[in-house]
Amino acid sequence: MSNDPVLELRGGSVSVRSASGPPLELVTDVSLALHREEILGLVGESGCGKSTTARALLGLLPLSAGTLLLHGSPVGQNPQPLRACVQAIFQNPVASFNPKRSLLDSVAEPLRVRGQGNRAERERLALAELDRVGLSEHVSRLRPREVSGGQCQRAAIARATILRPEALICDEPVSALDVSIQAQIIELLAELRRELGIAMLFISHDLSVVAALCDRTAVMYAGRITEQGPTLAIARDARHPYTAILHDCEPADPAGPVVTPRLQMVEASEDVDGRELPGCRFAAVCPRVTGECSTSPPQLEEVGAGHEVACYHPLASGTPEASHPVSVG
Amino acid sequence: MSESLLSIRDLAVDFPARAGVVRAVDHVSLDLAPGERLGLVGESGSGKSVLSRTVMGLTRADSARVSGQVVLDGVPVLELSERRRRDLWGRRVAMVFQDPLNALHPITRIGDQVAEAVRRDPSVSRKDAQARAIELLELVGIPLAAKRARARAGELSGGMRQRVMIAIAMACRPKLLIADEPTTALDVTVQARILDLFDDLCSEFQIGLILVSHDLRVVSNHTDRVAVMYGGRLAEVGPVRSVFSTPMMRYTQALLGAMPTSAGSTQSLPKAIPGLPPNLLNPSPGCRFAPRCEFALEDCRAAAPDLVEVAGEPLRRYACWHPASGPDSSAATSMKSGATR
Repeated sequence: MSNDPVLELRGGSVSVRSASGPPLELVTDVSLALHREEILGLVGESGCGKSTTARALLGLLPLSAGTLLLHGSPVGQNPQPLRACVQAIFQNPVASFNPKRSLLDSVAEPLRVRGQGNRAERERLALAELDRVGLSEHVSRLRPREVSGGQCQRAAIARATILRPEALICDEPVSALDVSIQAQIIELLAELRRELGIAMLFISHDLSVVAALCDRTAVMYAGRITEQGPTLAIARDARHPYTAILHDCEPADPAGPVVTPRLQMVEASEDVDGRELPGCRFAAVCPRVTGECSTSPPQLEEVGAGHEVACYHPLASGTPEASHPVSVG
Repeated sequence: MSESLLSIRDLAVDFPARAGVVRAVDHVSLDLAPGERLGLVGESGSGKSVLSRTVMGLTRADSARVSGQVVLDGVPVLELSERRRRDLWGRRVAMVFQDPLNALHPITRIGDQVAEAVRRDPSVSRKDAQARAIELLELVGIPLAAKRARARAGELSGGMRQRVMIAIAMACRPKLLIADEPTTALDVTVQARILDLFDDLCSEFQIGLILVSHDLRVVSNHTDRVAVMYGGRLAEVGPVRSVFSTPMMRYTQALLGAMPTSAGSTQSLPKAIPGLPPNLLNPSPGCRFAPRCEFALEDCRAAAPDLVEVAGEPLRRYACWHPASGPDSSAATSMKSGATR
């Protein structure tokens, strides 16, 4: 087998037509690679382009620039191989099911669409898949409204994995769930990666969920990747001021010490859309901004093993203010 | 306690349903001092929202059966007629909800909406109310308040809308502010600022705060005391640092372990709590958490534990037959015991 990633977006941009003026670029020059048995976390705030990126990876949105590659070859106009290899789960599992059909029917549906087996066989396979995600036959025969959000998300995972995809796009899969159930789903995803070797993109606005589950993390701001690297490097040694601020804003570990923030965003008097700035899109609210930042967009540059930052004034590595206090046990 | 701003005694809220009775709040007693910030945490269906709405006097008599006592600033809330309860709103107690876009009027300019809240006090003239509205918008940290007062809700960001909601809540100088998941719909960078704003308002105006949240981390840095609820009951209550560093009730401990954490030098998965949240329809007699608790024994299923004091810590109470005792079984260790990769 080649070393090509299962799914890769190279320099991808997505634009939408706007009623007045030129097209609006939602996502600009994004490069992401999903490797087998690896979970890539994608974090950022609302509107930064996480879900647009997910849709581009699923081939649901046309790219205005860049290429989508499946096993190293461009996907082009024919989405069929992509459909077979890449599946998705979303934030609201209840809404992603047909309310009038049982979970079992919905999970068996992908098999029917692909013309696999007869009815009894499909049901047997679907029950086995539901069992893998921890749902009993009794629960499987219920409708989406009759089960909890966590059970529904399990069924959504079963529906996504029943065709044995090579990549799974998870768009905020645990954001709507209670903490105790969230941990169950995170465990389940970690298990799927281990047992089936699925490559995953895990989108979340919650840095600590990503820090717990993902191997690598990419941080997005206003449609661009600002920093990416091994999850521990992003969590302990953030170099982009935005990543550091995100960490600081994350409420601290309840049992740990009180953390005092190092950097704070500049309060912009007017709402500035970073996408409209000629240079760095974070410049309007960045505490480290200089004149250079508004010249041209900073490019991703390597600062450590597999760790890239797009910033003219990155934080120094391993300096006391850049490292986070480790919680005491 | 004469110093108490809010005193809840033996409060129970039942919702009769076709299949039986849903006991949403099960005999809860709590106190709040002026200027004190109480975190109310729990998962969906734990009763935290019903409890806070009942304190506000929002639970309707035609759908719920309420028993017990709620005394707010000397006023017995539950004994008042619906009309009299309205007089409390804004002046004694005000509420901030999760979704500010749904709570604000889409067309009315936000300055006018704040002014309307100010005019709940009939002695304030229309003109003074407008001026006071702009002061309030400044107080909650809205830049260019005089200009923004002319904006409509849809023109503001989520964080700015939530600030407007807080300005409305503050309009008649309430003594108690109830914030029900006020930052759940907001980005973390915005969340941090809104929580700081609550801190400032509480210390500056001696307002009591009930911060309802499912997120333990939010509560731990922005409240003085925490009450953990499970299945309609108080599981544990006490000073927030002490409860989270050495939880007694097994649910508190499990909940802390289920929180994902980015602290620590290695990656570890959060430890899931098995099973599902409790069904409050005709619940069984024992501890509500027993079906999901790894330490549950026979006695846990037979009878529900009462709240008892922690030895040596008179401010802390917990309800558990087999508590996690001593620092060894604290949350910190249970968190580390999650699967390490």
